[in-house]
Amino acid sequence: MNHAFLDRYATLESPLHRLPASIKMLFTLSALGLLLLVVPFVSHTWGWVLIITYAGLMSLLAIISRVPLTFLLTRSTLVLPFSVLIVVVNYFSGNFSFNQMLITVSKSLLSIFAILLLISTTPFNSILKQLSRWGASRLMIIIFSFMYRYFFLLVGEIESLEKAVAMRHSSLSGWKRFKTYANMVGMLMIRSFDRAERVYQAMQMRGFTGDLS
Amino acid sequence: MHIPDGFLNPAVSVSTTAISAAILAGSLRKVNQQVEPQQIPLMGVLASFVFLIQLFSFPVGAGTSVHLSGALLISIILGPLSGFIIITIALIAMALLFQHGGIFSLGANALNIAGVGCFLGYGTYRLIPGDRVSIVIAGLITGLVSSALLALELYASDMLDLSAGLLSMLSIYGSAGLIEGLATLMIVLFIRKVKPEIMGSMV
Repeated sequence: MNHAFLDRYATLESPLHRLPASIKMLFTLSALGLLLLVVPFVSHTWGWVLIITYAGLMSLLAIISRVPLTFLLTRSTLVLPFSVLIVVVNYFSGNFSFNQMLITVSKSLLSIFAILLLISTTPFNSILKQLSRWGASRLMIIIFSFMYRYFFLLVGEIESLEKAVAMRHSSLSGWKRFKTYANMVGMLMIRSFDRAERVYQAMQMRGFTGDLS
Repeated sequence: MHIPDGFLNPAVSVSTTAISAAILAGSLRKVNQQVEPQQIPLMGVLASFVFLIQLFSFPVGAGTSVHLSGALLISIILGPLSGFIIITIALIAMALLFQHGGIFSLGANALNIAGVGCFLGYGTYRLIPGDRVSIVIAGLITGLVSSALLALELYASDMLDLSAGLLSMLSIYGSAGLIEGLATLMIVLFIRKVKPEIMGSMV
């Protein structure tokens, strides 16, 4: 099981990785803000100028970061099923011009790209630390860090449950299959409760009393 | 359905974020007052659980599958306020780590998925007598209302024709909601049989 597959490029070595998390987070937020809150209010020509400048800047940062471009590009395309569906429907119903269609798709692709670049150059824990410095709720940050830490263990649990189901039933269909999967999710939930109990015992041993401050 | 960035106009984006942030702040305050020490790691591990089941394809036959949101399930097992916090955290993680959803559309997604699922879904579950039927109906209502909200938000952003959009959204996500209701029912029945003491353990 790969331990850090959620943000696997975050520990690479590059000038971008060395920058403090706060700067990268502020930059990503303002880049997204520019794209999503400013572009809708300017003319199409200015919209395109902003989008192309933004795309150029992002590509430059991506090259500096040494994160594989294939990874950034393939992950960015995850948004395409949604955006293509929406723009095609709007185009054929006459609501969108061809230009609007392209602007919308580019905006959605570039937003995803900016988030990917942040998450591939900044370890998740540094993002959480920075959020906490900015005053995010202590409880939320703790839940976040537990979520991140135990995710790969739960993936292991569900893989073993799936294996167990596959071994006992070579083929399941219809209602039976539905019920088996529901039981599997139920079992995963029960195991999550058990896991949390063991985690709590370990925390108690180290002196945790429930004080979040 | 997670709305990605780039589809909501600034007004919709800002107003839905304000609503969701207010609900989140209220839930956090209430849960912070009542949470017991052993429930802190529990909420964390359950956030991981929700994150995982949102990625997991649940087979419904005929080669199709749906992704559960887990909102109704977590609210029934823990409680709606802690449910809202957990689902919102899972949605933020989905947007950051798996590119499902976005940052400026987070408020809308939290409202549609966590808000409707945890509060309306849980309310329906409590109000309708006969808890087997009520879970399925709660799932259906959750699916219908959150798809209607999704359609409205896209319409207000001039991304969707209201009548055609509403109809297709309602039929697709209404049936997804019904499936979520059925799956939630089966999961709750399983947990009642195997480990009943974990039911309704938080606010």
